[in-house]
Amino acid sequence: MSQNLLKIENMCMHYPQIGKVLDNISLELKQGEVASLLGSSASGKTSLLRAIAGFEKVTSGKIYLSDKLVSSQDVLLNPEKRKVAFIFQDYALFPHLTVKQNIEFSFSKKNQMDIMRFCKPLAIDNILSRYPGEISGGQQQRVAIARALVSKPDLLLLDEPFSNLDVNIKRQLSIELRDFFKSENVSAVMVTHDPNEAFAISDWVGVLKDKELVQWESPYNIYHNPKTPFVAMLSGRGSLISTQIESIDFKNKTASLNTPLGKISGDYLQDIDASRDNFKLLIRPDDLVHDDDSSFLAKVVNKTFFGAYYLYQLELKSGDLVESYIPSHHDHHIGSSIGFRVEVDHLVLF
Amino acid sequence: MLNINKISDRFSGNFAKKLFVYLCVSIVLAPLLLNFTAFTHIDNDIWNHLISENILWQLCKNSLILCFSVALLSLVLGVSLGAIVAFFDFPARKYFEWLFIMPLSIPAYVFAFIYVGAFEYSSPINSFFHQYFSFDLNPPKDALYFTAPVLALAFYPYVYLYSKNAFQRGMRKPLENARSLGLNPIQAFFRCLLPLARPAIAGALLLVIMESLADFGAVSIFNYDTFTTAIYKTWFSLQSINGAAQLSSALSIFAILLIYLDFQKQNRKSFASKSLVSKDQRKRFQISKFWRIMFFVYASIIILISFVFPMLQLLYWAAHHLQNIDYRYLHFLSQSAIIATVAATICVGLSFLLVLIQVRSQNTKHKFLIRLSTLGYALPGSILAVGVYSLFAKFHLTHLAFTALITGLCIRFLSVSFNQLQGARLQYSDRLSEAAQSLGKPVTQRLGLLHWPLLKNTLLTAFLLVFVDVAKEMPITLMTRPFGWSPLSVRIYEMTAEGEWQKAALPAVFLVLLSCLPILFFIFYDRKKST
Repeated sequence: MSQNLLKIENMCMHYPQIGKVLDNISLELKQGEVASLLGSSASGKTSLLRAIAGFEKVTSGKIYLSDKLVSSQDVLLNPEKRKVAFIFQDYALFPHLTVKQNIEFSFSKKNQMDIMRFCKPLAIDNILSRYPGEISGGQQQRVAIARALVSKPDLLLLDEPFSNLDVNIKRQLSIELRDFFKSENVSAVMVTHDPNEAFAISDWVGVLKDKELVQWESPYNIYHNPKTPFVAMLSGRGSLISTQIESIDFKNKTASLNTPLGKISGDYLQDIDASRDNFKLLIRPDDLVHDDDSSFLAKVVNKTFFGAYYLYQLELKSGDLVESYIPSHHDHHIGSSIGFRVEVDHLVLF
Repeated sequence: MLNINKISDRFSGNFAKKLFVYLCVSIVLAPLLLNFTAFTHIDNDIWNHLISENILWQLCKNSLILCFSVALLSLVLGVSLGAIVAFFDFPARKYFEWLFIMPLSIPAYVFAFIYVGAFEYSSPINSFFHQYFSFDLNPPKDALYFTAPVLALAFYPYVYLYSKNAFQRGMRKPLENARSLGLNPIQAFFRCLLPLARPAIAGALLLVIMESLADFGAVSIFNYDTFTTAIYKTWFSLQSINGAAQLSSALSIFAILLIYLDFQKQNRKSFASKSLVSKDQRKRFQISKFWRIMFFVYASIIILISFVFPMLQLLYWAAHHLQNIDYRYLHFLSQSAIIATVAATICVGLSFLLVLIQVRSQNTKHKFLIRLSTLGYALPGSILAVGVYSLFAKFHLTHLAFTALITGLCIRFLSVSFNQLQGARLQYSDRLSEAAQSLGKPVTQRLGLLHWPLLKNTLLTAFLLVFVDVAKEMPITLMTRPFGWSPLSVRIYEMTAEGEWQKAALPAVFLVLLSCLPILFFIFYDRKKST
């Protein structure tokens, strides 16, 4: 079993003038694993990265890198000694150095390598003699990634690395990076606003809210088994509809629910307090499948075109609003009623 | 059990930084605190005299009006010249770019005696105007409206240099942004570019205000009484060094207040917004022929009155005393050069480290302490000299006269290099340093690979400014110089003290030439770099 590369135990961070920045953070990451941090603005994502890098001191708790204590209330190992490379959102390329000199910045006399191994896949091998001020934002970002990778870090920290790239490059680069990380056995923690980006690249996803890590799990579980409504909404589109439990089997963790969408049965993963009368059931747009033959009807109140599909907003008879992805050749007018059926794999109740 | 990590961290990081900062602040504050101890013996006669006859209030008012007027005039001249050089192309712009710095080579007291001497009743210029236009140019010696413009001519290059550097660090994009948001060029300049360049301009204005506050030579030539002249008079006329020290302490409180206000404002705003400046950003804007001529005429007039005319007048006077040149001038010159080089090197080195520590420090008290170490600029040189001398005497080190001289000069001029470097350091983001750190570079390598290349031009500018200031400085040099030393500024003092302004022109020309050397070196270096 591979050892923990990064381990954070009950870590808290305070700034004198701002107050609490991170509260009771605990997580683990093994060698070769990639994690993403999701969360709203000012939730503490970047602060967590900066604490791992050693730019900020922790108020309490501990951070270990390869089982070595690097941060605690009394200990702060300098960032340059951590073997942790940081890719900043604003690239932080050195303006007085060429692209090649930027990439080779971490080299010492003893420690050199062929930078083309990284430059070619990142498509920056033809701009090595230029200065950062002479290349585009996307190229600057690739240079920043190459510069970090050639330093052979144990852990790579990326603060919204794709934020300034166009969609196609972003998609391509995120896939390339994931493959690259896996082939090189590189571990990384990435901050992002985009759940799709996080799901595509990560083995683990952490969701931060109000300075706390509310969930740290696999991308699949973050999407399909969110622990809070906040995680549910942050990890993808969805609606919460009122529900009552008709029957529940605690042993097999299955339940049958009365919902505005009719009776829905299935397994559940989280603990349920059966003494409560009302619950909210999470319905993802892919849980509702358009079916003209179905007797369940809902009124189209809004629709957004996404090329291959429409995102329809539907109003149920109960007045609840739900969403559904429907292939774009099914072009229904706003105000019309359409039939659908429910295909819920797991019950997610709050 | 010993925690090795904890101990090594303390010694390698914060502890060493704190020790360095406390040491610097202690050295600067020690002479000032010695002045404050003068309050243990209040001289009632002097304070009654100053307060009952309303003299103190009048002195404060005069000083404040002078500071405000000089700052305003320097601001208008410095920023306008900095802006036209940074943003527009006009005939001879390349020459004006460095000519505007040249007035720095002329001390304010030399400016004052040149203008008083050139326009006095019997002068050829005044006689010419009197004869042909029936108009007297003879300056009213006690008038503010003559003192302030002359001081502004001596001090505007600080504002020019700082603002030009700020404007040249990629202001094109913010200007274009402001234009795209509906602002015309003038609105965009005042609402966007000027606030962006504020840290640099504020630093320069602080220098101008402190120079004006501490000036004795020029204001006494114009017979304009300020707080500083009162300190000198209390000391020399009323024979009360204690009273002078008390007045000086009051002046240092005012300086601390100024520094605190500037610090508070800068601390609340973050200007480190960009890490890259593209060449495109440095391109100058195209303007019509009319404006090209207007800018050329404006630049020519300023250079004429701030450098060409004073230099011609000095040379004219000096030509009448050429027979006085002998081997002694080699000594005067070399002593001035040695003092200025040593003091400037130490000031720039200390400022470099203090600025790097201050910018990354998150401790407000720590930051303010560093800012406090630049306090010496507001203090009259002679009071500082007494403080430094008392300090050395207290530790029985009076035989180290050269060290005392350099200490006094460094305390006085640390602010010059500090402000210059702080403005430049705030122009690039902390992320660059953090990126280098995360790529495994320890502090020594970050200094060499990152901060040095990015700041070396500013370091050179800072060195140049301190060198010129130290070469021109008179009271500290006069009072703490080693036995047998007689640098040029002291020689000028010896002449002007006897009212022999024309004789003072010869050492003044040498002093100006000495001050011009580093400026010309800087210009040559800057051009070579550009090509």
